[in-house]
Amino acid sequence: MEFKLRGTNVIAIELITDNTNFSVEKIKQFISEKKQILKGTRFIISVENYTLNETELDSLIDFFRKTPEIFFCGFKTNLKENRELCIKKGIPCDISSMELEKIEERSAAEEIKFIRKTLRSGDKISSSGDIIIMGNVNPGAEVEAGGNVYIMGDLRGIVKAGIGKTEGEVRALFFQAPRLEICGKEFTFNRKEKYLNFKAKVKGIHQTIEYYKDRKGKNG
Amino acid sequence: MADKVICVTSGKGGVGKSTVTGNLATALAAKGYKVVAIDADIGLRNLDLILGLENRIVYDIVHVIEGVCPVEKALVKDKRTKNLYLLPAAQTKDKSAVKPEDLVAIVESLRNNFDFIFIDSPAGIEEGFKTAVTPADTVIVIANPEMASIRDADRVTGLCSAMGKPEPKLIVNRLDPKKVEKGDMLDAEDVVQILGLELLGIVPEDKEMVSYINRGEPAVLSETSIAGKALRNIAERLLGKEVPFLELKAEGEGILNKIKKLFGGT
Repeated sequence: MEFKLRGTNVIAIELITDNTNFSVEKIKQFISEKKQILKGTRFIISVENYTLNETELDSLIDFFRKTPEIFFCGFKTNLKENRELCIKKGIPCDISSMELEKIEERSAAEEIKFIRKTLRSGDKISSSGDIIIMGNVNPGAEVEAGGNVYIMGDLRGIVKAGIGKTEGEVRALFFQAPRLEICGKEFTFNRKEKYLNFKAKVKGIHQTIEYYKDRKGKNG
Repeated sequence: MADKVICVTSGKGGVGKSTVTGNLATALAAKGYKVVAIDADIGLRNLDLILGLENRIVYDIVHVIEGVCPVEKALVKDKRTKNLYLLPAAQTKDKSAVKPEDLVAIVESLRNNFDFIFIDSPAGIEEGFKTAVTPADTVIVIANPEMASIRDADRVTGLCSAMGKPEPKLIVNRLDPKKVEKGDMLDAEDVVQILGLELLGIVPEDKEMVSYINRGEPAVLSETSIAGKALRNIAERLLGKEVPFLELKAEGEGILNKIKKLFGGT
């Protein structure tokens, strides 16, 4: 049985095992030897073309429980049986589609809301992901999104986008709102400010506001 | 014929709900239609003053609901304008005295005997408003050209669609062309832009309005009143006729051409 360690794009170390003479004890031994290198890292075990049985899995989980210096994130596998077993035990598996997303800011589980009406004063729409509005957001209406907000119409109400994220944007065909919040960063505008083709974006510490010009050609 | 039961509302108070209701009802009655105006602003009775019928009230809507008298007996007939009737609100009770189903029952009992039934809604978005809107076939929202009124009108529009009513129609009330010219007041176009509703008419600010109300004479009966003329045009539009929008001028320059084009007026 051979082992290979490699970094992954989710800032974790992946242990690739092969299926000849698969042995849990050997894995444990290997990890114990490399403990110093692996200390404090996110750790993933990739098991390909080998079906784990329950005792093997239990023994591995037990091992990681006793090794708190390694942050075990779960398994990666190409076999359905392994995945089902892991899920039964509550262990993340199939890293490529599950654990990865948790590490990324945006997950595929986020809903995307599509609204085909004008939001009037007192209306409130929220979504864990993006919101697309085919209509206006009138004064007194509120929009809250975990993702981006795109308004195919006029924005005069309050929009909070990118809640809990570090990246997000708000776009509207016309903008005349008192304030706007993206990723917890607040933008305020005075009453006379009007923008066409408005786009506000926050990415980390960068904040950009772009617009064409105001409807009556003033602020331009 | 257009919709029969019309509720006039606005959300915000003081924008001219009762005045518009009284005048539209009078204008239609003067044209020969049988019209009843129901004052649903229980506890804050005003419509009788606008119509000049305050001294003729014996029974009110709460008496009808309590079964003290039949609805026909509570209706106050206008002597000046034939075919115009008023169902007054109770001044001594509050909004809880009339439930939505009570008003629906009253409206249904009147429906076959009248061409138009106007309901004057109270300000606010609480039970009184809901009661007034529930029986309506169509809703007219009154907005003044200022942000507070627009926001409230917008809220009311949202509530109406939540109640399953068709999209309300808009009357922009108390527009002062002079102030619009100076940029001190929103244009009717701006109001329409924000609310996105069908514009039924624009009523210009008219200083004479106060004296018409004080005299208890609806302005639509006066040939000289500009607001009266605008309201008569709105009444025509309620009948489904196409009437061009009034040329509201501030020192010679027409400002409503854009809106007229927008709504297919000539």
